[in-house]
Amino acid sequence: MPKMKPDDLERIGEKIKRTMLLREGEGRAKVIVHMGTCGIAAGARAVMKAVMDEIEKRNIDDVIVTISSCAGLCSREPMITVELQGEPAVKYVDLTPEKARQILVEHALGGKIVTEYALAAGSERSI
Amino acid sequence: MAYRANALICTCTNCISNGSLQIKDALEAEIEGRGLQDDVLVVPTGASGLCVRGPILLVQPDGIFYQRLRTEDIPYLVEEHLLKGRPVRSLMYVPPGEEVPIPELRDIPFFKDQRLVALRNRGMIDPEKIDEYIARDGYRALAKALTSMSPNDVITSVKKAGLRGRGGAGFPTG
Repeated sequence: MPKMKPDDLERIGEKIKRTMLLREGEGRAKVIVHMGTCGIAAGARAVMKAVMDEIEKRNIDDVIVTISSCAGLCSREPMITVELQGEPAVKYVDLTPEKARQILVEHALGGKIVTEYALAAGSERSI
Repeated sequence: MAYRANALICTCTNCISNGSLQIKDALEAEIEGRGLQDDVLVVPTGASGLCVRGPILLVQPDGIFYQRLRTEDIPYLVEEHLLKGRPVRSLMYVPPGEEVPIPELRDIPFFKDQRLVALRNRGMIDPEKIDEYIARDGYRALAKALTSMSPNDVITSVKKAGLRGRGGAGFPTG
């Protein structure tokens, strides 16, 4: 193995930064895909795969994707919740993989709520 | 790879003697069987300190702490939590003498008041993967000491840190 230099530490850490961020449970933004039976039946898995694929393609390393159970609005599944640090969570309904990609780019990355697909701002506790 | 969950299974000596390697195998098999191997990464870790309740599993980013696992618990746990996003209450930590489980590690009294300094990576990284240590700033202090500090700066900062050790007798370092 060639001799390591201090700069190599940065490079090695960078490679798995996204995994470590997930493990620490913190990201600048969090995308929660609702994966109750209702969500899965309505296509939540395809929605989640689309979000993960977009993250991979764009090499985004400060957004984490996770799942949660049924949000209690089964007729509007698939749903996702987007949480930006320090801002109220936003729930999106009636999603398709394409809509989810758009939300990731415009809201999670761009910070702009996609009002067209949004249900309401706030988590279950606050709405 | 873009995972959406990490399953951190404690593989310290205590947890291994309680069957954590079998739990790890069962987790990997069940995750694979459910087609979740690209979503969920299973990570063997060192001890988090509550091995009396082992085998222990921490699911991140949710922060859910599972304890006293048996291999037969794994199919249900994978289906409920890792596939459907519903943490399994019956496998969570219940404080002695109480009845209500505490879902998240950070709320468990044993962990709540700990402020980790030298042990900040405990239970968080695979001890056999040096990249994970480096990603959590491993060797950064050494790099800094070698490239941007004078020998005297290094000695002063070690003294100031009040670090003790050297053979376990608590002699001051530096």
